Amino acid sequence: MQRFVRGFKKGPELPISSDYDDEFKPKRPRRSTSNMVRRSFLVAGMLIFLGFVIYMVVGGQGNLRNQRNQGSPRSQRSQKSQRAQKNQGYQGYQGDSTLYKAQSEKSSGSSDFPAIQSGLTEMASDSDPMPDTVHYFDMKNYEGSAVDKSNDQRVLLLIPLRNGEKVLPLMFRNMMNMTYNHDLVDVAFLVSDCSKGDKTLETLSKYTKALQQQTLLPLLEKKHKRVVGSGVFGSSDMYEKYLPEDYKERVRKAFSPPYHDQYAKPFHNIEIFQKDFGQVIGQGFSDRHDVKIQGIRRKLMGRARNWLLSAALKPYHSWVYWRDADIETSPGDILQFMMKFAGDFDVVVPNVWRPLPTFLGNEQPYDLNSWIESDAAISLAHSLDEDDVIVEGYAEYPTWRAHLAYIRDPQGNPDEIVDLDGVGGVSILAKAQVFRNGANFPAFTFMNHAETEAFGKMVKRMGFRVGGLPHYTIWHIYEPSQDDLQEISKLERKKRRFGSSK
Amino acid sequence: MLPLKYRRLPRLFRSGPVNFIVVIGALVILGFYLLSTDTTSKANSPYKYRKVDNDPFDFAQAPGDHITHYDLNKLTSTSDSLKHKERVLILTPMAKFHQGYWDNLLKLSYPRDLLELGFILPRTKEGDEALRSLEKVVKRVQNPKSKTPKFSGVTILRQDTDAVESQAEKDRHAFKAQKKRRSQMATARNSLLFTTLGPFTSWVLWLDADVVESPTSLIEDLTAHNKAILAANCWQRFYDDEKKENSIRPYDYNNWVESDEGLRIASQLDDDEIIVEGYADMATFRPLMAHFYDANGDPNVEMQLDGVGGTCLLVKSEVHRDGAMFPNFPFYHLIETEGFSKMAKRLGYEVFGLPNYLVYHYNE
Repeated sequence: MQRFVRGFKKGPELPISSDYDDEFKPKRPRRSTSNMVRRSFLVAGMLIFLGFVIYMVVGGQGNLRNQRNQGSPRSQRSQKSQRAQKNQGYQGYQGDSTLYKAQSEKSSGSSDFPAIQSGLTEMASDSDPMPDTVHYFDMKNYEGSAVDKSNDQRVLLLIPLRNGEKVLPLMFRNMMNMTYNHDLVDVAFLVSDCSKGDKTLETLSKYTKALQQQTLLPLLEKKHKRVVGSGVFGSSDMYEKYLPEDYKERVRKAFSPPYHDQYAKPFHNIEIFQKDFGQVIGQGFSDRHDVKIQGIRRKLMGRARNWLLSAALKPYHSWVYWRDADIETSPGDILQFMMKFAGDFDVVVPNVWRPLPTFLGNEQPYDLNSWIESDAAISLAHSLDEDDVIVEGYAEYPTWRAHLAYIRDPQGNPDEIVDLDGVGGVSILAKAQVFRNGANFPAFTFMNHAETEAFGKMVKRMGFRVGGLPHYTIWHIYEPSQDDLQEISKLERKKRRFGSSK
Repeated sequence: MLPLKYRRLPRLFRSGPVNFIVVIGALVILGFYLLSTDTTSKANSPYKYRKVDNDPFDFAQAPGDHITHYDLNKLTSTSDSLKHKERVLILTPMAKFHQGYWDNLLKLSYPRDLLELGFILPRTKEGDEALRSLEKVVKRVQNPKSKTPKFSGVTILRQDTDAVESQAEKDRHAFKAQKKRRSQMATARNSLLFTTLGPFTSWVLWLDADVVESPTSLIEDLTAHNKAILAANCWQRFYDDEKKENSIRPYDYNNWVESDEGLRIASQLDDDEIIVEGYADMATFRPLMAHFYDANGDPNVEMQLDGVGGTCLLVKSEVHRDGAMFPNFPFYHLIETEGFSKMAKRLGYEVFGLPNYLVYHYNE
């Protein structure tokens, strides 16, 4: 273009700063090159030094702060949860250290208790503050009631474990699924009598750490991918193909996002107890040793539950929730739902069923230990020895009781509740008051029962009410029996031979 | 424009010293962050922990709070309690505060850092007064500024259920009132026990609030017998008007051995009725440990019992952990402490008493 403009002579590219401009711009002082380099290094050095100083000051303070707070680790929590804790009406924590120390040497490490002001100030004749080692609780503050807006009731979640390594991922997912405020839930595990080579304790510790650091979900997902991707395990996992589709869909949905907003929130306190009771060897079995073993087994389980309860129960718990580790699905708001009945009932259990392969009928009652007493059973008990334990489902003990499991109606009103006498231990929600009155899971024959059913009887004897929800169901995992596995392998062979699944 | 020789520098540096400094500064900060160790860098982390190498279960890496591990297999209760540093939980249902009780407690020779105290008070006016007095003395001892050795922990509970109103001596012991009163005592004991029993407790010593005198080596003496349940003999000092001298008499009649007559009476009772010791209405003819005291006898003599009282009772924690509690309902026609010993026997434990080892009850 320029060629066609006459008279306008454009030279080669104009320089960025021309002499013409320089005349009017304020002149910058000229710097020598070495000077500039020297200066920039100086400035950099100063910055480094400054940064170091600031860092040391801030870091050092942080260290001091942490050392002073070694005794009250609660204060290391994030600001958000601290605010949340304040809203719960606690005056402030005075915690002894619950840091893990060498196993043989421990202080009487009680976890943090609420400050003492409440309840005693009007009594106090002197105005000295209550020392750290003294705790006061008014049990009237810890009576269980239904959940309302200002709910601050603490729940103790108790889970006995034995050789439960395989179900731990499932159990933790269920724990995270619970929508009850995790900050009000204390969890306690008892690991007992695991067989050699079982890694329940290690896996449990790994998962609880991850849970409290909010890294459990990625850990479980990674494990799941690894497990699923590694190929065939053997025929025992084939049964999953035969479970009803709608059930599998429900399970998938229960454990996939979107999760509720409390999902990954850490729990208030987790305690892991270890206690081995040793094998109990019965003496003098008759031919019906199978039934007799049941009684011994239930007494041992009762003993384990009592150890866990007595070690974990604190004065400030309002509710205690016993939970088996091998529940597959249960509603996330199960706690709030069952607490609704607090006005009339002191112990509440849901119905417990399990899925079955399609060729066996899709579903089946699982827990037969929740029942209503019958006259036939009472007269049966009178005819038995002091030490005989009646177990449900055996021909030797025809009890003719009405079982909660069998009165279920899948379309029924989930709010319906019936009075029970015996309860099963899969999922028991009880007011802590019941345990404070002394009820526990007898490890001896109590009214011809042991463990949870004897607990139900004992609780009623003390004047409390036990309720069961026939139409509110939680699902236990399905573990195929030998017969089931044989049937499955038969069907598999047929499929391969004839090419179709029917 | 930069002189020619600086054109070899990257463009960022060419545009002026400011950018140069910013980049170097950023690198410095990054370097600090990466190179600093774990204990200094994460000052703001909510969880701090130290690595411990020889920890097979990796528990020491647990965050400082929220997770604790207890190995209950390591809990022992032996005849050498001091040597094994076994912790004792002293539990006292307290309706009325007696200074003599507290003074006696402070005189015990067992190291205080191995002792933990638990109290439960009823929901009455009397309970309020007792609480006030108790709080005063507890604060004095546990005051962090004072030099007195401290108990490892003190827990004070207020019962949630209402208690029987009158605790005056004559009213307490009226036969009809016994069942209700003892049922409430049982509930109080259970509430206190199961909420204070922790993972560290080896022994539980039940000591009534009106036991005002005992040997200072009480705990060492009782644990030395290494019995699951052991009751001391509770008597009472009084001034004998007839003989015009100080004397002693039996007080706690709840320590007994079962008799045929007692069993016979029990078999004839309704399910809801209980047998209580020491009432003419229901003569059981049971041998009472209170009457077996021999002033010249060996204080270490043991006798096997069937029923116990709660005035001075030492129990191994595993007995309670297994589930033995104080039934507040008729249990084999027994209740509270006597029901407890029956329950412990059902669980397979043996019950003993020391007839010649005295502790003294307050004299109203």
